[in-house]
Amino acid sequence: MVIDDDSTFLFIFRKQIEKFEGGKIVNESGNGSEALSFLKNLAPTADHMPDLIALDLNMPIMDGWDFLDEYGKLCADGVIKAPVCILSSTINQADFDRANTYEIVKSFFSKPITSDQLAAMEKISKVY
Amino acid sequence: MQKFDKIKEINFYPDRNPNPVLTIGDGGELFYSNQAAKEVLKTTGSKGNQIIFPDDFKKAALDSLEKGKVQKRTIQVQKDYFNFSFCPREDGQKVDVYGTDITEEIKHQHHFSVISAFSMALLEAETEVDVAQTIAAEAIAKLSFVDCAVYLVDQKDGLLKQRAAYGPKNPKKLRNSIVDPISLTFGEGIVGLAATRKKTVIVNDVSKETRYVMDDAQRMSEISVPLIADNELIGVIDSEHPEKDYFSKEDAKILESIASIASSRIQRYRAMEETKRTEKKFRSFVENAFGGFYILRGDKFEYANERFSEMTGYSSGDLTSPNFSIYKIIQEADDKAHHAIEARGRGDYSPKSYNLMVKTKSGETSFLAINTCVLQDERGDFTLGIALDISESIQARNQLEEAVASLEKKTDELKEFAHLASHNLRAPVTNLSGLLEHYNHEDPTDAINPVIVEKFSKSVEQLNLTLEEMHQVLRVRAKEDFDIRTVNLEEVLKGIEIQLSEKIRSSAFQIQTHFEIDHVKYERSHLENLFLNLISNAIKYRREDVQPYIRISSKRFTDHVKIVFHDNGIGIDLDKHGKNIFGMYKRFHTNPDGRGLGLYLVKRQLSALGSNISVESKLGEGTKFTVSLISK
Repeated sequence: MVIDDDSTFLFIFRKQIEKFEGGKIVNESGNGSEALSFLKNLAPTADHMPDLIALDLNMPIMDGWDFLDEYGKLCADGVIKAPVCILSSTINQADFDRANTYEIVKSFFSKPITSDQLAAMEKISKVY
Repeated sequence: MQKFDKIKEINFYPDRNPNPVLTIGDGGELFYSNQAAKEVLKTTGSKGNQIIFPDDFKKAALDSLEKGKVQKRTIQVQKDYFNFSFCPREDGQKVDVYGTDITEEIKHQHHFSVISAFSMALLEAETEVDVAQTIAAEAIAKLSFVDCAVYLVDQKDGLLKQRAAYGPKNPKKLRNSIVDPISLTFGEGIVGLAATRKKTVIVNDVSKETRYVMDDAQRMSEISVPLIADNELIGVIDSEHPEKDYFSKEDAKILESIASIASSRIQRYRAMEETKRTEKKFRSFVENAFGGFYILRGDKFEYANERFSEMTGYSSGDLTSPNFSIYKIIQEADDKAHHAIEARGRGDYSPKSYNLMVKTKSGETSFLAINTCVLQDERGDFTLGIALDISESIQARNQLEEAVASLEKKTDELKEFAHLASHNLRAPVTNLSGLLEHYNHEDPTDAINPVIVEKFSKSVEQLNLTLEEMHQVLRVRAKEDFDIRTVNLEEVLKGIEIQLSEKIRSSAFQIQTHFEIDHVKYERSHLENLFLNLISNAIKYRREDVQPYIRISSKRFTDHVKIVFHDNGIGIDLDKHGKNIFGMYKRFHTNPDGRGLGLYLVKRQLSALGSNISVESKLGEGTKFTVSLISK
């Protein structure tokens, strides 16, 4: 599952996943709020239950941080436990540090995303 | 009993009586005289066998015979004084005379009366010179000196200076002037000798004395008595006489007593002068002090100097009036200050310092730094306070704090700007490189290629927009020289309508205006940006289910022009986003055109000229922006 408001990035990411052949995108959400409503309405056994959430930070309506707070509550309820990887254009150390404070965030990738990073994401999705 | 026997014995053997005893006849003839009487009478002289009695002696003897009663007389014989008892015999022919030498007593009496006369005179002396002149004048009057001079040690050069002189040199009438005053160093002359030794010096024959310093005329004898207080020489009393051996030990004793009284008098006078000088110095220091100075008893001022009056705006008369309390001028004081303001016998006498916010008579606020100490006098505790006006430094500190706060805010904003700008630049650039990788160079006819190209140009456009926005933000920051001139709001709106004509047409958007005032003095580019942003936002966030519109109105107020932009669009959830609405790169809708910078720029431009913008909104009903334009 990928959460990002940048349609061009989504286009490229989609193409990268197709080439990588290591997985598929079960959902694309334009912001945190959309993503949350998708996740809340998911049945625990649904076949498009995400194994990993790729999250952008700078988004309208509900940004990545607010999403993380809400998603944390969702995980606590035990409905879902997919790990989160942050995909962002930021190069600000403060953002890295802040992301580190969330236990559910397993990795932080700066855009552009490389095939090595996709491999790492696949690994993460399997470990957790 | 033994004593009585002895007297009887002496009377029985009159020859052994140390007092004169004699018997004379009614014709003045001497029948008997003991040894002591012979000594006394020797001095009166004799004529043949006849003793010459002093007149008053003879008269008293005849008186006693005539009256048949004992007569008592004090009679001077040469330099000596005697009390004589004249006892007539029963036969009326002879008189027994018993004498007692009272010369010493008379001398003491004289001594005492001279000293008390001096003391009385000295009581009236108010200055050192007064004391000196009194001594000299009284010495001549009471001690029968021919002259008398008084020297005092000059505190400046340490020389003995003649401060009073009486006698032939200075006739009595010229009390306050001295002809040719003499200055002596210690050790110079007889006066100097007395000064150095701090002891009385009597010279019986100055012709044999090499130290003699002649004043106005040569004299034969001289006496110098030092004036000493606390073992320190103050001056010398000096007298000379034309006869040799004139000055006796008695004279020395009297002069020494006078010297001691005069010295303590001068010492007291000097101490008083010193106190007065110190007081004068202190008062002048306090009155001309740069700091405010006051004395407080309880909450009442007892004294306030000119500077303290200036600081508070109240005259020292106002401050020290009985109804005036220090609390009248205190605007704000912390506990430390309150504790220190008054001394109320708390037993805490340590010096205090504190700051006080004071309200002056004219109602202004000033800040005083105050140092106090609590002292005691016969009426109890009082507070001595020194105040410095620190209003300017407090003001400067506040300005500095404001400047620092504003700088910190700007720095934060710049950080945020740099952070977001780099993010917004990186995003399209990484997209461009990502897109390039997926372009199919081998087969240009691949269906994906046109899609990539389209996305490519979109990213380039986004990059351009970001660069343009950054340029705009930086322009506002750089505080350009504003071009303030009269701007017609209708014209501004027309320009924007042309710019947005395509969007307005396609969405059938209505712009309604009600300009009560359509000319404002302002920076035109800021107004254009304001109209462009608010109108294009209203179009962007219109509701599809109603006829979309924006109503723009203007109204003049005394110091500003109010412009209201009211639309019927989708509205903003202000509970959620209120604090961020004018922030940088904050977007509240998913509309892809939203860049998140428009309102931020509008707000910055307005506040650059002191203007303001506020927002009210309800989800699903519309949004109302109110702009307060500071326009002259």
